[in-house]
Amino acid sequence: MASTQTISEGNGTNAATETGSRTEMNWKRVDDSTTAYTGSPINSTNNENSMTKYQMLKFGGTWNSLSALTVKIDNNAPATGLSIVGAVVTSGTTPSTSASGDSALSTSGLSANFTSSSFGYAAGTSSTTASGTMYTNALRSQLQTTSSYAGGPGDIVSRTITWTWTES
Amino acid sequence: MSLPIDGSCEAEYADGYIHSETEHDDVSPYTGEHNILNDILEKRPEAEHGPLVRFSTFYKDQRYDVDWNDLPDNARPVRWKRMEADQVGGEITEVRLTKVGFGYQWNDETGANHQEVVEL
Repeated sequence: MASTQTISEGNGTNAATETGSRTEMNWKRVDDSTTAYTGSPINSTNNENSMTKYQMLKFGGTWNSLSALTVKIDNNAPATGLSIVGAVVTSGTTPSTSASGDSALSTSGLSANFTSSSFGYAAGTSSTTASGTMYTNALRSQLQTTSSYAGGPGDIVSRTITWTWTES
Repeated sequence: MSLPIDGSCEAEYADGYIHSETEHDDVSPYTGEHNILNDILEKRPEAEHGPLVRFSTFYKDQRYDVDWNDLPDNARPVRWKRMEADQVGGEITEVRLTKVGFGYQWNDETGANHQEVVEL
């Protein structure tokens, strides 16, 4: 068994409602886990941003300790006029299309902590020996666009977010 | 015969019993909620099977051993795994083992901690 990993998303007021075992994280103009992104697109002509998205790693299974967690994205500027910003956060705020104020999402790795066996937001600790279910800090991300984007309507290339940790 | 999965560990005890992470799917048969390394660290098999005599890990078709017979009494096994998980489109699509640390640690008479750990 060892440890297992799934992605949980926070939606709604203070991003406090969990949707577990996510299978998509499309940036879109609505804060929910059900609406297709095609039904709520981001219009670069209007310099629109996506809703901020809160997602965290959820560990399960068996493990002796977890530590040294980082998270990064493979590319935070997929095209002229498109940028992906993000930060590891210790509290949730209600998702919004206003600019989050976060810097470009790190391509080298942001440190994150382990918080609790229950979904939520907290400072957490850099290592844990609790075993079983364990949530991490959330990664808040947002796709920001400007009218300089020349790609036209359609999807952008999928990005890869990589979580790295040490376990025993 | 293939060796156990990379990064997994096992321990052999005085009566020949082998406590294997792979055999138990990394779930403690003693508690049902811990992993096998935790069993070894907490000495759960020793009441029935005697002292630890060998601690091993597996990586890239090799078994790496520590002979426990000549170590200090307070020696503890070390085995850690550096892991990566890719999230593409919101889903975890791949989990990789990138590095394994293996060895032991102990405290001397002053309480200072010492480690003999190799990165595989």
